[in-house]
Amino acid sequence: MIRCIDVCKTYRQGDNDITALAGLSLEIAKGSFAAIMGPSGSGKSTLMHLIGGLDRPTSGELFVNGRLIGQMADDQVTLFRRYKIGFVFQFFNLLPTLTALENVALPLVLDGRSQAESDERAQALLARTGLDKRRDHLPDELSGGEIQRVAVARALAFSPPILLADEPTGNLDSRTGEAILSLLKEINHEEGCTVVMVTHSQEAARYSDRTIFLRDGRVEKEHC
Amino acid sequence: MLALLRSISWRHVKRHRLRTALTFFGIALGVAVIVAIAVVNRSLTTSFESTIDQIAGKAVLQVANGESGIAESLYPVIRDTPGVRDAAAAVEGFLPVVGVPGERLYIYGVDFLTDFAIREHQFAQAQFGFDQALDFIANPDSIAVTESFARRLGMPLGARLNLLTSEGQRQFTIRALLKEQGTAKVFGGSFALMDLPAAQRVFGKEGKLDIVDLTLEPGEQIGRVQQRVSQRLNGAAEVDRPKKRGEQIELLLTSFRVGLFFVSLIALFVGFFLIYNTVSVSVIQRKREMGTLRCIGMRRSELFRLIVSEALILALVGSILGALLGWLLARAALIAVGETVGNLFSVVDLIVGNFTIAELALALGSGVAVALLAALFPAWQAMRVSPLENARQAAWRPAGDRTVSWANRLGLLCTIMAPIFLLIAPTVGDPVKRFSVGVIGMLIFLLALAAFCPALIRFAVGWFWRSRVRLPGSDAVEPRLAADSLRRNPARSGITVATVVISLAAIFTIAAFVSSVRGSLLTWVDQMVTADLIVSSGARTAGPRNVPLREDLLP
Repeated sequence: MIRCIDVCKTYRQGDNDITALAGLSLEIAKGSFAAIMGPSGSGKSTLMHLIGGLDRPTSGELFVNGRLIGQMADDQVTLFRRYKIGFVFQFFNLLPTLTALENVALPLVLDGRSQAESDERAQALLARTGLDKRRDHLPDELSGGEIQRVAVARALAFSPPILLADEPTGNLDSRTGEAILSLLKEINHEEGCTVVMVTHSQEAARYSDRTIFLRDGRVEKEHC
Repeated sequence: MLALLRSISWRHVKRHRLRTALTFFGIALGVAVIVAIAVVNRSLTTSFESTIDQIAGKAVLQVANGESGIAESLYPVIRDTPGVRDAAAAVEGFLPVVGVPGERLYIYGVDFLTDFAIREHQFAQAQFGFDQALDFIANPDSIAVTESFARRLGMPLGARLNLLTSEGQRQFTIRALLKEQGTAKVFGGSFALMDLPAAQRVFGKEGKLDIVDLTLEPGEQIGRVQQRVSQRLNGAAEVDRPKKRGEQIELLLTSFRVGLFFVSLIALFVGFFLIYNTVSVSVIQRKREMGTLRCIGMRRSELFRLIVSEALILALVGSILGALLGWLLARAALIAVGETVGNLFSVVDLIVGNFTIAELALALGSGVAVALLAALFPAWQAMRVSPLENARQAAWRPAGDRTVSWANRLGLLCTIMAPIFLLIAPTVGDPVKRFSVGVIGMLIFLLALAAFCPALIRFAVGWFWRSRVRLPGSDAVEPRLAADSLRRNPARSGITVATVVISLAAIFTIAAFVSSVRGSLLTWVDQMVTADLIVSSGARTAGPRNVPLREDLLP
């Protein structure tokens, strides 16, 4: 499902080149739940961005869902993100002016689906994440856990084969965090969706099938 | 796209009502100025054309000789030219009504026996036949005024009317009332008919004619008759079609109209910066939101279209309101313009008329085109927003260096180009083109000022930062935080400062333009009129059409 071969990523910062990934190679199987851990600056988020097509590797090959993502045109990557990748972020990144239902329906509206079809699908997804009664509330009116549930529902709009979660519990209390992790696990099990989660938390990593530790832009070790 | 506009854009607009309202009214005001000036210009042209047409009646040719007039002795020469059927001589001019401030009567002195062949004068009295006409001619104090004028001044048939003539105050008797039809419709009914010799006397034009209107024999070609009359006059007067007179007056008005046009151009320029500012700030504010949209699969082109569409919708609605405001503004402006044109050139009865499709198209076209142009760059910046933007936790910092250097390059280019235009301007032969080139140079200079704003901010803030200036009443922390924010975002701050600079510069430019015209006029008057005291007939009316002073008063 996800295969990285000697992937490097360097950033230019002032006059210096910063290496975020230094020849990283790994494979994540379809339908698995992988947690990526490591100290700050180890390249976790960069790896996540590359897998999600938010950024491009400087060198190396990165296959996601069978596609060589670094060589796709911008529009192709965008559509790839739309249909094949679901994102869940630490800071939720919902549109503050849209209700929960509208936020979940947004990817479908972007795709040109009718309002009725988009709303129907969004309603079903909110029900799936236990938030159907809060559909007309703005993000400001929801708790952190509820907002993250909306974000998970939005990520599932096109039933993507891959769900990327960047510190999904980083901004939540432990109980709410556990509920979100359970939800991710449930999605992984029930829908066969490959989940890749970046986390600092050992507790969160326990929900995964496999934990990959990064250090200095490379895989340091793995636990299954 | 509509769904996105409804959900994303509309909500954003609702959340930033004040800023949206300011931009909206900025566009509306800009368009209103453009529309008002277009309506005023159209009204001026239409009114002059209509006045010329109404006075000319059925005449296909007119013989005139500017302000000097035609010697009356040439009338038979004109009338007897082969191909001329009717020739109606006239003396025309304005006379102030004594005791009614601001009231001026357009006097048309005609030969009652020949003029009816050219112009249709409808009398209110059913029985104004040959006998009444003879009676009218026999009394040199006879005057025929329109019904509306008589009503306005409360003067019935037989009432006495005091006019200020070249012979001083003179009393006339209203012996006929004219229906407001045909020629009598000009100048809002402030029209009067007088017998030709009487009119010549009141204007001090004895032995002179202002105009001779001609109709032709059936089958005659206008060009040939025009040539024949010209040959017979041998340069003593000019023979033209009536429209030519309108064109001459229009030519006089050209610089006035060009001036107005450039005022509207400046309004558009300010509108451009207002829209640019709003869209830019909106893009900067929504960078994270745009990152999210890119992240969940919105293409760059879709984001570009969304931003441009937002600006276009705002501009479209603003332009519609601007068109309505412009029409109202035009109605008010026409009073002032009518007075100015009346004082400078000739009294004209300005017609507002209906709002035309062309004016609506101008309003929508200018508003939308400017909005589109202004939104392109911010929309392009929005298009470049990385999907990673929404993953960044720190506040966005624009690539200040690149933007500043790009703006500097534009500023430098404009600084080089502006003097070229300003230097070329005086060498252009045509005065209107000279003025236009000068204004273009000035607009480019304004653009240069705007482009240098980010660099100026960076320089000023840098100085503030280094010198550790303390603002009175505050410790050093707040101003330094503010300075830091400006320093980090010179482009964003530059847009706001540039908008203020352009708006102020536009105000100063218009004020300087008005002051320059006024100063030039005053200098010209000072140079031309060196006398300490001036004695005139008192019957000052409009521009060159003043009534001359009686010669016998000179000794």
